Amino acid sequence: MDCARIREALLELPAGPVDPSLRRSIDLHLPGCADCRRLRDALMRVDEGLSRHLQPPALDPAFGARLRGRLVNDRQRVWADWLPGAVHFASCGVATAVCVAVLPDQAALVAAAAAGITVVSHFLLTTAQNALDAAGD
Amino acid sequence: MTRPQSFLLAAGTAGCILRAVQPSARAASPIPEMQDDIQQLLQRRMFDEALQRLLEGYQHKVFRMAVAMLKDAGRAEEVTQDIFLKVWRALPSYDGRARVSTWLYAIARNACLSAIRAESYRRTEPLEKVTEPASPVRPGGDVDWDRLLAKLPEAQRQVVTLYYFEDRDVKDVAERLGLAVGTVKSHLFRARQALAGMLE
Repeated sequence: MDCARIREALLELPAGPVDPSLRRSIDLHLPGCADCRRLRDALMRVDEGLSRHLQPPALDPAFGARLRGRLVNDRQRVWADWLPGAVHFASCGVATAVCVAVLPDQAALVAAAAAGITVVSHFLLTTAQNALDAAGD
Repeated sequence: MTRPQSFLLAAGTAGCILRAVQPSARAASPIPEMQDDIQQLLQRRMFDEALQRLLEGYQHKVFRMAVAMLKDAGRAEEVTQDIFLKVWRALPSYDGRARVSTWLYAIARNACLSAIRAESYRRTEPLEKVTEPASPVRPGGDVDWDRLLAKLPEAQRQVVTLYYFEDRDVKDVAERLGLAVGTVKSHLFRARQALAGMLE
């Protein structure tokens, strides 16, 4: 087997099992080829060196506590996000009821106008809130 | 913005999550049943339990991926926290089309890439400050592996780093980096070739 094929097989070794006949060919080839032996030795040095050097890093023991704190804050933010909408709809409802009480003859018109204003103002409120969130992120 | 609407989260759940995020030297590999388990929890809209299971199975893997991509353990930990916060917010929108791990790693990858972009934007050095590094192989034969790895193209460096972090599991590296197994093998081939050439 020629050197090019042997070198290719040597380079493929850590990525998957090499078939036994190819492995035998490598074993037969290496004693008589100094170039391929040099590559084999360099690759062994690379594998051993990187295995020692690239030890999997461990998470800091405080990671859990910090993440828990951030999750709690995030959950509070969910409430904070939900609250302005609820307050908006409640206050619009109260304002509409007061207007209907003051102008009972125009109740249908007042209710329609109030519904329109509520939807438009809710849209503006949501847009402003999303813009602020995006700026914050 | 879509967020989990489970307002009944109590201290008990927070305790479970805290237990889940306690670090260990190396987490056990997530088994396929864990994926099914998480999928079922998500179908039942049990987001807290799903997050807990995700943390148990993947926090160390995501952290190691972040270290491989960002080259800085401190920054990687911050980004790992950001990733799980993003995951927590996105859980209700998980549609089950991709595997949970694939979905999680996609979020993690994007977060790491954003962090890399932000970092490179901040750390632009003037040309006159950049000096030619000394040889990575010292006279006594000791090798400065960090310097040697830094000479590889970024994709090869990431693949090699994760490959050795993850007990040489090519499929795992491929899933983590969103690459085909063949592409990972090709990066490994070229990287080992280059590293061996630098040592020869």
